[in-house]
Amino acid sequence: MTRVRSRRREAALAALLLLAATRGRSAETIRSSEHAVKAAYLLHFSAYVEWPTSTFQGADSPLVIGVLGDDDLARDLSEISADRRVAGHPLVVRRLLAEDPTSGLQILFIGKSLERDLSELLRKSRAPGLLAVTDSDGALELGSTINFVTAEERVRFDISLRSAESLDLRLSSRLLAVARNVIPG
Amino acid sequence: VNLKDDRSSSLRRKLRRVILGTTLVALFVALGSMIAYDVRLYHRTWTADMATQAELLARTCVPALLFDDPGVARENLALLRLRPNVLSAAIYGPRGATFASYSRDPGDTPVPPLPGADGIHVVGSFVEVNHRIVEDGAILGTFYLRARHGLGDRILQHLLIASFLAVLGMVVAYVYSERLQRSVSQPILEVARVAREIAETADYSRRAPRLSDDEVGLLGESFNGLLAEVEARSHALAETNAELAREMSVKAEAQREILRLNSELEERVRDRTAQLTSAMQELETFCYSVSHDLRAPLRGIHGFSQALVADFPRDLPDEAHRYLSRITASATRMEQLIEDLLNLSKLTRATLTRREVDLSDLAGRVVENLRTTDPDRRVEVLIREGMKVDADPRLLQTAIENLLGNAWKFTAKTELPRIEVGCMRDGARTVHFVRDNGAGFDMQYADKLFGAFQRLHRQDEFPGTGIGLATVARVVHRHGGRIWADGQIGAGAAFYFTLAEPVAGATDAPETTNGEA
Repeated sequence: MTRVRSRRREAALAALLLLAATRGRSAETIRSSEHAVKAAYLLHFSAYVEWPTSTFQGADSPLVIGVLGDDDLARDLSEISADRRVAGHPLVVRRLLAEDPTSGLQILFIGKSLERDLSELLRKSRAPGLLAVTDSDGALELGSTINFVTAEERVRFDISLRSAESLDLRLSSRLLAVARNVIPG
Repeated sequence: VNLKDDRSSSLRRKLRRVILGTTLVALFVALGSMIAYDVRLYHRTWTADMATQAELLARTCVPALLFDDPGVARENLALLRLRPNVLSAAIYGPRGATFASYSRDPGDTPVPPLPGADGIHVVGSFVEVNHRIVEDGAILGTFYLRARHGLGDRILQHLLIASFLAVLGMVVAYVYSERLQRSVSQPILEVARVAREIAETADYSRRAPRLSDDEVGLLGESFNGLLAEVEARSHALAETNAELAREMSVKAEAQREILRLNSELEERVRDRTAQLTSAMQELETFCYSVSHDLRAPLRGIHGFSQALVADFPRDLPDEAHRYLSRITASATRMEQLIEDLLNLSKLTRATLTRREVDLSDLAGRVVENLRTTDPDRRVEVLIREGMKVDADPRLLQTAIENLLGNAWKFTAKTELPRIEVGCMRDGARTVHFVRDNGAGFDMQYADKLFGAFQRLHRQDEFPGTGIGLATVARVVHRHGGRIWADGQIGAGAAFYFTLAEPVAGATDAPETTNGEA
């Protein structure tokens, strides 16, 4: 029974992903689906990042993604990450406020709405094993590791290897291969 | 010489054919199964390789798909340049739209607009791989790959190599078989050669050399044994032949000796016969002249005796008359004797003229004469009718007269005299006979019956000169026949004669014709 149900869920997820992908490909729907695409990307990132061994207490400790300043994205992410596991870790999505502590998170997304406080937020949350993903121009210089950009009407991203290395995070070369720009370490 | 070579090499040819044929079959089977195995293995390996390639590339393209980056996907696909047999490849999105594609040559078949069913499909000499890209249980898209599998090239290449190997194998097998088959064929060919030479020269002292220890060697040995036997037999035969030839020459020598002796003997017989004939002629001439010359004095005695009786009928006493009559009787008898002798002599000299004579008629006339001469006698005479013989009529008459005269004479004292003249057949010859129931004779004197002056009865009992049967015998013999008698004292006599013997029948027949002519 459980297997059947999980299959159904997988199918539903696939359909969603499909939706996201097609939306990503279409210029008219790019704005409305931008949240969904970014949510999906955020989810996919987790598969190409290797956290320090101390990050997880156990093999099935949750992988926690915190979302700051983008409720739509948080909603979308919650939807698609439900019941999903990355490398055996169940995914947990937390909607955060600016003053909330970032300890216990593995990924922290800071939305465009908090662009003005970005430097402060990045500095405050900076900790080894925490992958910061931002959605603002020049965020990499402020200490972010992955930053979404829109190029040729597509959602792309830049990566700062320097930041990743300093945070003890190892990013897969396959991820680097699809990044728009990579700032070397 | 060519013929010989052909014949001797036929075994070699056969052996070579067997060896090469076997080698060829073995090569075919070995190379064929190797090729089949290799092609199968190649196909499997190759398809597996393609599948792996597809999966690897698909995996590489997962981030590109996930993060919607066709450029990266295209770059990944472009890596396929390193695999020359991959003609085209493509990545389709989860809904089937083409995400990225690759073609080795721009002119190549474009990638299909939609992905096919998951799996590997061999279409002609191409392989198409459709590989679903699944990540975390979700289908991200499909990886498509089209490649020339080169199986045909591979098979062609294998066939070329196999042909080369087959040719090489055959050449090696040929060279090797030339050496190998020699060990098998050489002993057989040796035996065959010896057999042929023996057949041509008949020299059984030859022997086949023993070149091997196998069945062929055994064959050669048996052959040699056979030859030894044949040689021994032929020697024995030659000896026997020589012996026979020797015997034959001895026999021929003996034969020649016999022939020589025979001819000598014949010569002698001829000489003697000639001497005998001349002596006989002299004797007969003498006999004739004596008989002839005796007649004159005899006539004197007879005449003067009668003159005495006539001139002095009273002057002579009775006693003298009696003596004179005795003298006259003796003279008469002597005259008769001389007459008979002369007749006998004439018979010998007379030429024989044969023609058909009616014996029945002849006998009838003779009997008639006898009855006239002696009318007081009552004799029953039986003559078989129609007896025809081929004889000299005059001589035959003399013979019959004598035979019937004898029968007439010797039945004089029989109560119911009976004379029979007849014939019977004895095989090829006809035997005539004159039979009577008169005085007969003692069979122990049968051989003396036909001699001249031989008498079995006293003169006063049955008068006669003793020349009659000699005359008959002379007549029969002159005709080339035989005569013999059968008799018993007091029970009659029978005289049998033939006028020709069947042995001389062949020569007798033309004589008959001559006689008639």
